[in-house]
Amino acid sequence: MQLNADHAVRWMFVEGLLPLCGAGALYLFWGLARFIAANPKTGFTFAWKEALDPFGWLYGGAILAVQLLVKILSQQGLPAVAFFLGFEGFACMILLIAAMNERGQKATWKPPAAVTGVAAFLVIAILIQGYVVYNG
Amino acid sequence: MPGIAAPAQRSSLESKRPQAKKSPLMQAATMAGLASALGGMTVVFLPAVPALAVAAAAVGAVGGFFIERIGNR
Repeated sequence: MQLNADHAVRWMFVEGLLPLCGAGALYLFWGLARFIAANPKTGFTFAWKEALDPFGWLYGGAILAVQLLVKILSQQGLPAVAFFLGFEGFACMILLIAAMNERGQKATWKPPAAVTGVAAFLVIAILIQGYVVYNG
Repeated sequence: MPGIAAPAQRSSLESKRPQAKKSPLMQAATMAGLASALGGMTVVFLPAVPALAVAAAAVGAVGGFFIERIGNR
């Protein structure tokens, strides 16, 4: 049981959080380092919000959902989790297609807060379900 | 006739009305995203009650609809 938990935690950090949030975290650290080094600090500017990357989350979420779905189907268990993982992977891809469609119509389009929020919620749900799958 | 704007007035009134950007695909995608995430969370945290997951997904679909509507204003 302990081994399973370790495996699940390792999956969560190495295969889940690192690819999804690694670049954003590094970008934030870079901003923090620049802020610490800046003198004077009054004129300091940094685009902190660019660390939020809903497109990356949606691509990563779709990949993780499909990988987890394949793992569940090969293990013959957790049918409800499998159903919602498939649903979540599909939603990630539909959101990406909708975003591509919007950006295709207007080059200056940026993802609204609703897309960022739903993408973050989807990724959190997929990561929690992935932990359950690997821990089970 | 009082209460009915002349054509010229009507067009200026229409131009002042806030235009909600309609994107059915984005609306459906937001609804699906919120519904699936809520359903998935419910299945994980309340595995004994699968009907709750379906209910949560329905709530998520309605919530996604309103989030998209409000987000476009």
